Amino acid sequence: MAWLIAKKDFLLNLISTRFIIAFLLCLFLIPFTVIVNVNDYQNRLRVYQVEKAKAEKEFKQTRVYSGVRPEIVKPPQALSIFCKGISNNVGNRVTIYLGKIPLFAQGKTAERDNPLLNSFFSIDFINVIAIIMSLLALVFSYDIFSKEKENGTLKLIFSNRISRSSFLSGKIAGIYLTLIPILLFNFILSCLIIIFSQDVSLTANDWLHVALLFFASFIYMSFFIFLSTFISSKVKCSITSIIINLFLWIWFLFLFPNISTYLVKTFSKVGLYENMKYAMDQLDNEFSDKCVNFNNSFDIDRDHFNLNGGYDGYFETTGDSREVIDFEIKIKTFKEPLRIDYADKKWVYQKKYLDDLMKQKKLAKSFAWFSPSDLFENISSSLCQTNTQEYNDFMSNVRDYRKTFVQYFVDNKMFELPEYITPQDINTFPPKKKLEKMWNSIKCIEDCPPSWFSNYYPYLDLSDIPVFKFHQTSLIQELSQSIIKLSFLVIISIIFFYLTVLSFRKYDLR
Amino acid sequence: MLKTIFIREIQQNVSSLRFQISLFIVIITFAIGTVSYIISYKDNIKNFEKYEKENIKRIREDAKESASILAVNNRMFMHRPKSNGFISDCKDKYFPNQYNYSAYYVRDFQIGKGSVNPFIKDSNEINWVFIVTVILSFLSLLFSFDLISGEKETRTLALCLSNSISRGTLFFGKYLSVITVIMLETIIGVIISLIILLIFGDIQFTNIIIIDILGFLVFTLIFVACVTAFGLLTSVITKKSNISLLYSLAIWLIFIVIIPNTSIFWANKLFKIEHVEAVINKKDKEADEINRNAPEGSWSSNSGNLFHPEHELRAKNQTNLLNNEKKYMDAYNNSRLRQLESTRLFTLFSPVCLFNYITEAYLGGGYLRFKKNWNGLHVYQKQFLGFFKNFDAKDNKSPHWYNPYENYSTTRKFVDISEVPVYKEKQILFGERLQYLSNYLIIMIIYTGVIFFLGFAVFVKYDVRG
Repeated sequence: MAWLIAKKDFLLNLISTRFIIAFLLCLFLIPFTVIVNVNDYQNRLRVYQVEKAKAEKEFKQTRVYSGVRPEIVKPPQALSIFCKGISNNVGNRVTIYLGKIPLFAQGKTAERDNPLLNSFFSIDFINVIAIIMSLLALVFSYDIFSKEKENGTLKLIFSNRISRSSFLSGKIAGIYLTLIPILLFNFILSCLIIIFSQDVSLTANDWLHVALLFFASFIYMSFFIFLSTFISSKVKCSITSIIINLFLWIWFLFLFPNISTYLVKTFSKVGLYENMKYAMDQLDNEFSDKCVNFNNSFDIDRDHFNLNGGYDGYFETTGDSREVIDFEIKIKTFKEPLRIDYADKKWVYQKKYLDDLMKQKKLAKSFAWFSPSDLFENISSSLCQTNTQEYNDFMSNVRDYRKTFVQYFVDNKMFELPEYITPQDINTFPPKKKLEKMWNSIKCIEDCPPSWFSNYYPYLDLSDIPVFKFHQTSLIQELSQSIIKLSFLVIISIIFFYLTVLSFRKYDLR
Repeated sequence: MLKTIFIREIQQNVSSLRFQISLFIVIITFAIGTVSYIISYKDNIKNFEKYEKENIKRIREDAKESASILAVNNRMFMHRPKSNGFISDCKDKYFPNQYNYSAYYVRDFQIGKGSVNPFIKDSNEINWVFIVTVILSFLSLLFSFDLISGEKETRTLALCLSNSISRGTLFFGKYLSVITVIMLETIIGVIISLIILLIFGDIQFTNIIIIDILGFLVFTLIFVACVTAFGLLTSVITKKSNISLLYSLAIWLIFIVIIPNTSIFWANKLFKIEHVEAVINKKDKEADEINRNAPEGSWSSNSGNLFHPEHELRAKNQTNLLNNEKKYMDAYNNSRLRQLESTRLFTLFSPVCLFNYITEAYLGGGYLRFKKNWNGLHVYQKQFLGFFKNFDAKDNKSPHWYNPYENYSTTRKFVDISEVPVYKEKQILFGERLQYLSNYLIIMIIYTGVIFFLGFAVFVKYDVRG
C-alpha cells in the first residue's frame, strides 16, 4: 500500500508545475555554475603551469647560493569545480626565504586580475545544490498532509485498510522518488560537463569523492524533507506550513550564515594586518641597524666591479679584489644566521595573527552546527580538499620544509662559503693592489677578462638541496573530518522523522 | 473605496502569521546587526588609529632624514572605517581600500590583507541595507505572491469585484498595503537599531547621519515598491497561489543569488581585460629596452657624492622607467575600472543590485569612495611633487636631477613635516552623490512602473471566477 501511495505521489509530482519549474531551474543553474567553475579551474591550471615553469627555471638558473630561494607552487584542486571552499581567498605560491617564515601563500588565486571585482561574490555547484535542493525539499513536502486534508482525500484514504505508518512512509517515499532523480540529474549533468571539458581530468579517487558528495547532498536534502514533513504534521493548512518552511529556509540559508560570520568577526577579534606588518618592519630595521654597525666596525672600501643584489640577502659579485671578497664573506657569515634569528622573532607576531584568524575560524565552525547549509558546505569543502584544514596542512608542510632548507644551509656552513656570494673561484680574486694595476691597463669594459662577469660561469648544481614534497590528505582523514557532521545531520533528520511519526499519530484527519 | 481596501488589506496582513514571524526576524536581525556594529566599529577605529599613528611616525622619520627620501619612499593610504556603516558597509572591505603612492606616482590599489579573514568564506555584514535586500525583498514577495491568485482560490476575488469597485482600485490598494506593511516593519527595525545606537553607540547623530537615514528610508520605499510589483505580477500570471509562490521564489533567487553571483563570470567573458602577467611582461620588455639603450654609466651611483656626473644619466633612465610603468599600468588600471563599470551595467536587471548601488553612492562608500580617493590621490601626487621640486629648487647643494626611485641626486635637507601637503580623504559632496546615484534611481523607478503596469494589464484581463 505504501508503495502505491509513493507511486501515485511520484506520478502526480512529475506532472505538476512545481516539478517543471524545479527541473527548469536546475537545468539552467547547474550547467551554468559548473561551466563557470570549470572555466575558473582551467584558468587556475594555466596560471599554475606558467608559475611552476617559471619557478623551476629561476631555481635552476642560479650561480650563487644566496640566490637559491625555492618557490613552491601548489596545483589547483580539480574538485574545486564542485566546491571552492577557501581556495579563492588564499594563494598558491610560497617562496622559501631565510628572513621570513611564510605566513600565507601568495599568488594570483588570491588576487584576481581585477581586485575591483572582489565586490561580487561567486557561487559554486555545492552552493547551488544547497539552495535548490533544500528549497525543492520544502516545496515538495510542505503540504504532505495538509494538501490531502484540504482536498478532503485524507479521510477517504483512511477509510481504506491502511495504517498511518504505511501512509507516512508512502508519502515520504513519494518525495524521495521525485527528488532523487533531480539530485542525480544534477550530478550526472555536472559530471558530463567535466568529462567533456578540456584540461580537466579526475582520478578514480576524485570520482569517489564525487560519489561521497552525492551522498552528503542526499543527507542534506533529507534533513529538509524531514523538517518540512514535521512542520506539515504540526499545522493545519498548507499556507501556514509553507510560510513557516520558507522562513526557516531563508534563516538557514541566507541569514544565519551571514549573522554567524558577522558575530564571529565581532566577538573574536583580530588586529589589523598592517599593524602586524609594522611590528615586523621594526624588527627588520633592528636587523638592518645591526648589520650596518657590523659593516662600520671595519674600515674597508667596498668597491665592486659587478654586483647584483636583491631581497633576502641575494648577493652575487665577480671581478673584485680578494680583500673585498673576504670581507663580504665575513659579512655574510655574520648576517645570514642573524637573518634567520630575526625570521623567528618576526614569526612571534605572525603566529599571533594566524592564531587569531584560526580562533575566528574555529568559532565559525562551532556556529556552523546550528546551520545545515553551513555544515553541508563544511563537509563538501573537506571532501573537495578546499577547506582550511587542507590549506593549513600545506602551509605547515611548507614551514617544515623551510626548516629543513635552512638547516641544510647551516649544517653545510654555506654562509661561510665563497660560493654563497660568487661563482668565481676564490683563488682567482687578485689582491687589491694587483687589481688596481690591472684596472689601469683597461681602457673600456670590453677589455675586462670574461671571468669578471657572472654569466661566464655555469649555474650551480642544486641536486643536493632538499626538495619539497606534497602530502595528500588520505580519504580516511577527510572522512574523519566529515563523518561526525554527516552523522549529526542524519541524527537530526531521524529525530524530525520520529517527531513526525508521533505527531501524525494524533493528526486530525477531519 | 481605495481607502477601505487599503485598510482591510493592512488589517489582514498585520494579523497574519507571516507578519508576526517576519517582524520577529526583522527585529532580531536589526538588533544583532547594530550591537555587532557598535562593538566592531570601536575596535576598527582603535586598530585604524594605531595604524595611522605608525604611518605618521614613519612620514616624520623620512622627513627628518631628507625631503628626497620623503618624496621617493612608497606610502600607503588606507580607508578609515565609516561612521554610517550601520546603514551599509558598502562592501568597503571587498573594494580596494589601500593605495600605494609616492611624490612621483600613484602606483596601484589593493584590498587590504587584513580586511577579511581568508579562512572564512565571503559574507555580508548585517547592516540595514543587507536586511532590506535579503529579508525585506523576500517579505515583499511573500506578502504579495497570493494577493490575487490567493483571493481567487478562496473565491473572495469575484465577490470583491461584484461590488462597485474598479480593478485598478483593487490592484493599487493591495499594492499600497503590502508596501505599507513592509515599510512598517522597516521603520520598527530602524527605530530599534537607532535606540541601541543612541544608548550604546559612540556615533554622533549629526545632520549628515540623519539625512543618510532619511535617504535610506526613501530608497527602501522605492525598492520595496519595485519588488512588490514583481510579487503582484507573479500573482496575476497564475491561477494558483502555490505556483505564484514558486515564480516569486525563482525571481528572488535570480535577483539575489544568480545575477550578483555570476557577475565575475560575465565580467571575464563579456568585458575581458588583459591578464596582469601579460601587462607586466610588456612593461618589463620595454623597460629592458630602455635599460639597453641607456647611455653608459646610467646605472652608476655614488651615495656619498650628489654631483656624481652619472647621477644625471641615472635619474633620466629611472624617469624613463617610471614613464614606461605609468604608460602600461595606468592604462591597465583604467581598463579594470571600465570592466567593473560595464559589469555593473549588466547587473542592473536585478533591483537588489540597483538598490545596493544607490545606497552605496548615497552613503559615499564602495566604488564611489574608491574612485574619489583614486582620483584625489592623483591630484595630490602632483601637489606633493610640486612642493618637493620647489623645496629642492631652494637648495643650492642639490643638483636637481629628479630620480623617482632614489634619493641620489636631489636635496639631502630635512623638511618640516607641517609644511608638507598631506592627503586627506574628502567628504563626498551631497550633490555629487545624488548625481552618481540618479541614473540607478531613474532605472529603478522606470523598472517599478513597467512591472506594475504590466501586472495591472494582466489583471485587467484576469479571470476572477473560481
